[in-house]
Amino acid sequence: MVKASAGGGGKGMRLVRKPEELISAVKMAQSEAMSAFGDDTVYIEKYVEAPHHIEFQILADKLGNTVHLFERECSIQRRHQKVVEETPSPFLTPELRETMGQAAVAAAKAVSYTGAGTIEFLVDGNRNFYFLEMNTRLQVEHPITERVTGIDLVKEQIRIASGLPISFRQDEISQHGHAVECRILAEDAFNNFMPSPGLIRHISEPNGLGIRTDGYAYEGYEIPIHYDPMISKLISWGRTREEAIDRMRRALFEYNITGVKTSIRFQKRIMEHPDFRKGNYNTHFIPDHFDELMSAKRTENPVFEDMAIIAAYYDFISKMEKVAMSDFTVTQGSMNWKTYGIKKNLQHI
Amino acid sequence: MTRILIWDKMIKKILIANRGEIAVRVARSCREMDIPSVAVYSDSDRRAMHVRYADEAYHIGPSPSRESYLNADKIIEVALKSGADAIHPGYGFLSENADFARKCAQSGIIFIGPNPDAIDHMGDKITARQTMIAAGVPVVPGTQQKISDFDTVSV
Repeated sequence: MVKASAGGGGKGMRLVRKPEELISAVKMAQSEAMSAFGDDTVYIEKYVEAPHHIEFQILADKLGNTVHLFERECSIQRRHQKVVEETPSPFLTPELRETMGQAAVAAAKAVSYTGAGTIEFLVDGNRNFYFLEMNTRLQVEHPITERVTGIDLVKEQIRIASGLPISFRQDEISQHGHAVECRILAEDAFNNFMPSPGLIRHISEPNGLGIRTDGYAYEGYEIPIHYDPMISKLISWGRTREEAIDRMRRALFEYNITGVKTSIRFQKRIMEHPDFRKGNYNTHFIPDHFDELMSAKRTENPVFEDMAIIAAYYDFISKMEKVAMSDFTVTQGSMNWKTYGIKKNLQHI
Repeated sequence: MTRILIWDKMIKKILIANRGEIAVRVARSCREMDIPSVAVYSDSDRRAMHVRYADEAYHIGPSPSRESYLNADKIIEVALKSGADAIHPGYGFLSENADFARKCAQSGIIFIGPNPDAIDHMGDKITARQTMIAAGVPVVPGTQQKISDFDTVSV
């Protein structure tokens, strides 16, 4: 794998499988890196086959305390964009979690890091882990960490920036239950993931036990075309992984947005996929199961669809009848007037 | 007593240099902490939720990010005007921009994020790899230097 040193988000990367492809790949990565980042420095890395993308949240204050808040499993990706995240990872063992957590803390300390950050690792099929990169900011998927640890990461950021210590110690936190996040995007998953900005006509967000939505859209709001297409993040929590996934499925069922196309139906199918439910997946999950996830099968309960069709037909018929009735009354009315007029005239005679 | 000491140190007002869900999410924590929040918005975000939620809001430019949410000088100017002593960058936009973090420091504003050197250090993947190897953190096997000539590549 040829990678750009200034890179990120999958840009400036070239996979090489045969030795003779190498030089042209380096040249292509260099020119891509130059145009994207203004820096053509590239390097070569071993390609890890079918890896897991697992990241560790860390916090470090200005007084020398550095802690980690466990991992986030982010392997459900489409073209290097995360679609679903969960914690704890179904792939990590307690021993590996401990080792990787220590490595994440060591990585942050190596650059005298302060604030909230994320250490991204690749984990191969044999559970060897490798440092990939560090994200020096709060991440989109931070709420699942908040949900299982109970720590408000933004509050900790503000405390740290104020020069105060982190409000807890490493041994005071644990992963309580399981959390899953879906990024709800304004895009048409079943039409090549085309962005679908526009006016939100109706929105009703899910609610109830174990559900959090971090969003900003409301009825009558127009999602601008200028920025990223994320409408909200839906986070579910359960005592077990199974409960968290079932709750997410329920929440996706409740989530109704009209006016723009969304990724909800696609994520519902991921929640229902047997391999995802078993926790048996890596970064190749979406490409490997693309046809199944995209198939035309109806995931909704067909009874509801039939009921909706019957209700719409009934509504149509009753409206037609009303129109017909009112026409009839008008005619009758005028007839009454006519009859009345005729009778009056007769009286005059 | 400790509360008073903490209040002395604690940031007094935060400008959120972002939009969308993350701007709302940051403002929520500010409200819980009794810290006033300042929103910034572009032309197409006049009616956005973060503008309604924050305690104050300032227009910073046209819709394209480059002219609004990426306009570091304008955002710092608004922070100074509104009396904010800190800027939370959220994610994306200016959150991993070391120059912006430096400009904040030069204007006497706290950047809620890492120090600029750490951003630079981690932003350069080759430097980051070398640092991790030195710290004993495993990295994906590969080259430790930039590729400069094609003879080394051919090996």
